[in-house]
Amino acid sequence: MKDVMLRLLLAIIDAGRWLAPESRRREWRRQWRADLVHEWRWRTAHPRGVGDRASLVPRAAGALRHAFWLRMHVRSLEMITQDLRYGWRLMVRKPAFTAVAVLTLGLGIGANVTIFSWVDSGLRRHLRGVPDADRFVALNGTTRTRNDLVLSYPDFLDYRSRRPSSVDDIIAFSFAPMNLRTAGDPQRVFGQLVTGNYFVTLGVRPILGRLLGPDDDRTPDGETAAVISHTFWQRHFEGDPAIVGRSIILNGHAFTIVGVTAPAFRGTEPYLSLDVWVPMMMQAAMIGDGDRLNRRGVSWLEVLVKLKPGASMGRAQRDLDVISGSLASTYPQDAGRGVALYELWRAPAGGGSAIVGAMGIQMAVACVVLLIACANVANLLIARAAGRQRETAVRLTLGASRGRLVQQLLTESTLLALVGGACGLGFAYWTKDVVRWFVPPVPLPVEIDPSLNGQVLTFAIVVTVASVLAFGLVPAMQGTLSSVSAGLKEAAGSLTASRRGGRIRQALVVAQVAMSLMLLVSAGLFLKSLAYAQAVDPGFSLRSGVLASLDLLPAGYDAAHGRAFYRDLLSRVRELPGVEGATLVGKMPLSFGGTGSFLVQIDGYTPAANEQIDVWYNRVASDHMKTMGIALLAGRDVTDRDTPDMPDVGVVNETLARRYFAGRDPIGGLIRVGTRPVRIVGVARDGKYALISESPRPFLYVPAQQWYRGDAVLVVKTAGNPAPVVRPLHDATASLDANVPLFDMRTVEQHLEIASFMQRMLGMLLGAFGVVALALATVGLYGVIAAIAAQRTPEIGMRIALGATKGDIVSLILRQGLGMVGVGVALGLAGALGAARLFRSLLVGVSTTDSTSFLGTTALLIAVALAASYLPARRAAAIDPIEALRHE
Amino acid sequence: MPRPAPLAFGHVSILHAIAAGNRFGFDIMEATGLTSGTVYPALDKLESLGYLASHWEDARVARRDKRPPRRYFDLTSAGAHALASALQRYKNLKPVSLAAWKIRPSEA
Repeated sequence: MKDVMLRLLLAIIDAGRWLAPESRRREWRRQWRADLVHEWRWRTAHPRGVGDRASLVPRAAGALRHAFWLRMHVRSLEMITQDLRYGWRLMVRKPAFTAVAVLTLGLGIGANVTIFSWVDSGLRRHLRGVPDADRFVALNGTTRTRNDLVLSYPDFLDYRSRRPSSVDDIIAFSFAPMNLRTAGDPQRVFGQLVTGNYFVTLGVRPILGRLLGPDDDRTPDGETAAVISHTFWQRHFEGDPAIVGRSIILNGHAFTIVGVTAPAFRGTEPYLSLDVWVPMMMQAAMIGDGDRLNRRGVSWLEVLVKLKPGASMGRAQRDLDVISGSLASTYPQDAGRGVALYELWRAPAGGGSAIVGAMGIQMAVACVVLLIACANVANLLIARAAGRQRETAVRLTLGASRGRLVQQLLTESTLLALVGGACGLGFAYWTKDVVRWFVPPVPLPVEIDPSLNGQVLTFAIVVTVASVLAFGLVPAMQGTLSSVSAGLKEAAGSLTASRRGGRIRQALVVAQVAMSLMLLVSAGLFLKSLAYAQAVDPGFSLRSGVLASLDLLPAGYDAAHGRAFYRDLLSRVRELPGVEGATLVGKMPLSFGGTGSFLVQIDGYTPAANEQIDVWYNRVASDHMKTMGIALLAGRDVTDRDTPDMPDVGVVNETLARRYFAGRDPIGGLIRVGTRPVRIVGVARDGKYALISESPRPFLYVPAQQWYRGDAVLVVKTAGNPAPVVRPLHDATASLDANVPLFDMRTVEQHLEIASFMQRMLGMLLGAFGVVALALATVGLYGVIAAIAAQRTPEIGMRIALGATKGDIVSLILRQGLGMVGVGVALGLAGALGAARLFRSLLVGVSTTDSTSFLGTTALLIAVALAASYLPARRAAAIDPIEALRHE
Repeated sequence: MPRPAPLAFGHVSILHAIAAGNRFGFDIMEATGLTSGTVYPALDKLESLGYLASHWEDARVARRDKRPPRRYFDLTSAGAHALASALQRYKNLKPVSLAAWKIRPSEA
């Protein structure tokens, strides 16, 4: 009997569960069964009189009310799925609309994601494969005026041994190009000298063998352990599993490979992928310049600080300042010096900050493209909302709340944006390799390896959500604001249709026109700048030839042997067939990374107070002017007789001669470089030395034999196509010394492209995006004009009936389109002027108000806009007045 | 997000009952005198407002007692605040004379 009643109660629950909404059904049933069973038991154990337990039956009926309440309550949640389904159906039913909107958004989102992934790969993921990368900060040396200095080894040791409690450990390293000798041709590889605690502190693990530890970094010049990177192991040793224990020759010293790093680790230089790591103690052997390890005055180490978990950079900075103070008062070399901590991505000495500028421009451009895309989709949505005015009005009449309708329209927008976002991710994946065009052509193992990782995906989602708000909200609000009665009337039938939606659409078109014009003008400026950079006379006429770098120091040459090598190399190369001339330069003009300079005194010239005579210089071998094609205005070229046993001589350029020898003959004049007097034997024509954009500067050529250094660039002038000379060049070098590789070989033509790299890159980027923006704006303009023309159909019909000609109607509609374009152009020109000032430093040979760029792009835009307005205008003029007025 | 409207008396009395240590649907019904059809939806509503937190009883405890695990409710700190301000609201009601309806204060 008792159990029958309990069973009845549970049967009510079982039957009633169909009332509960599906999403909450299980939970509802579980809760009620448990409570009823419990209550039943309790009342059985504590009887309170006849019928007590029976009173549970009406209580159980309350469960049904609960279930029903849940159904009403949970409904609002379930409406979202209903909206999604409805939105999806709409998308599928209008494939053209959907395709345009999705592709537009995909383009905008994709551009942002692509560029963010580049920024991310270089700046954010600087320490790849390092577990606690966010605890590392860069430590730069500072003086009163500079904050981008490196440190000396003794200073590093002092900072490390006295490190405060906020600092976990400090590591130091130095970038070191090396010559590798295994079998076959010698090879240029890139590595780092690292302190013994480098790998332990970074927390990098080996994939094979072991990594360098403190015990590998004890004896100066006596260590033999080296670690190679995973990529280098794969590339050079074909992933040989028996690599550990192999010996290699680096810069003429035998090393043993003790291990291979984990694949993700690339070293600690931003944007570079390194090959090999050797102990700091091998400094003298690896980078020469004698023993630096005991010289406090020689700064050459990059330093990273690993903070204790939870320690702030500010605190570590204050703690380290105390140490700098005591070092500065102890050692004269450290007087006036301090240290500054920086986040890795903006450390002035790390090289990352140089790229931040270009990345910033790219990111901004991508944002503008996304804004244009959003404006375009908003426009499309408003147009569609206008078409759905009747539907909206009917739903409002039938009792739908405005919030409900906004929610539905926003759901539709979100759906569009999600598909657009997915499209954008695909776009970003597809354009992943485009990044190669943006890598400057430098002789370094640059690696920008964008990947669609978690951060990039998060960014994509954020951008997508932001664009939903940007393009979805206005149409949704505006679409539901139309009044019921107006909506139910035949919207197109009245002479005075509501203009509110039209206003917003016109404002969006104006914004689009303005933004595309900004991009186009900027692109025009950069392209003009590129044309200038390519056309500008670099000061030398050599055009067909080969450049190749060589470095004698790693091969163990001293100055005497090096000079002999240079001499022999030049005489052999000049003998090669197809070679018209050859010389050596310390640095090729217009390379990345500036040029060297001397502070000099010039006999017969009295400097003004505080005037420093700062002269750029280059080391050049014999026949330099002849080979490079630099006109000599007076005197002679550098020759083979300008050796160290002869008096120091030099060739100056026109600007130096004019500025410091006004009215005197510069030939025979003396320039004092430190204690060395250099006698001027020639005057050469001016040229560009560091940057294509520089103004004329005083310049001094000195003989490479007299100012010996182990590194130089071999310049070979060829009769025609330089390609056939390449192999003989290698052979000629190898026949002198098989340990000296020629690296970074390129033609003169390729080298000249470096000079205009920045302009080319930004011009291409802005140009591509500008064209996309123009296309989007054109589509937007066309859509709006067409909608306006359709809205004004009855009015136009009336005008035609009253005698207006086709020309009148066309000009009526065109005027409306041009009005919008006019406002957009005015805003866009103002914006472009502002933008041009921002990147003034990157523009060469073109003013920020260059009339061709501004007027040309404006004319282009207006022409396109005219075409976009003309089509709907002509259609409007073809309206049959009888048909148009029939509904009035 | 708009401020939630002041709680209805039923909701206040449910919060009050939970604060007093009643943590299951039927106990709360006993304590408040409300019907199950009121209490259960109210519990869900209060939970969605963030005033209550519910969780299922530890299954091992329930199994030991040979019964299904129950869903029980706790006051959140937001719930405690809402309860305190509601009680303050009721406390602030001044006594009024109901003599016109022939009710003496002692009968109220």
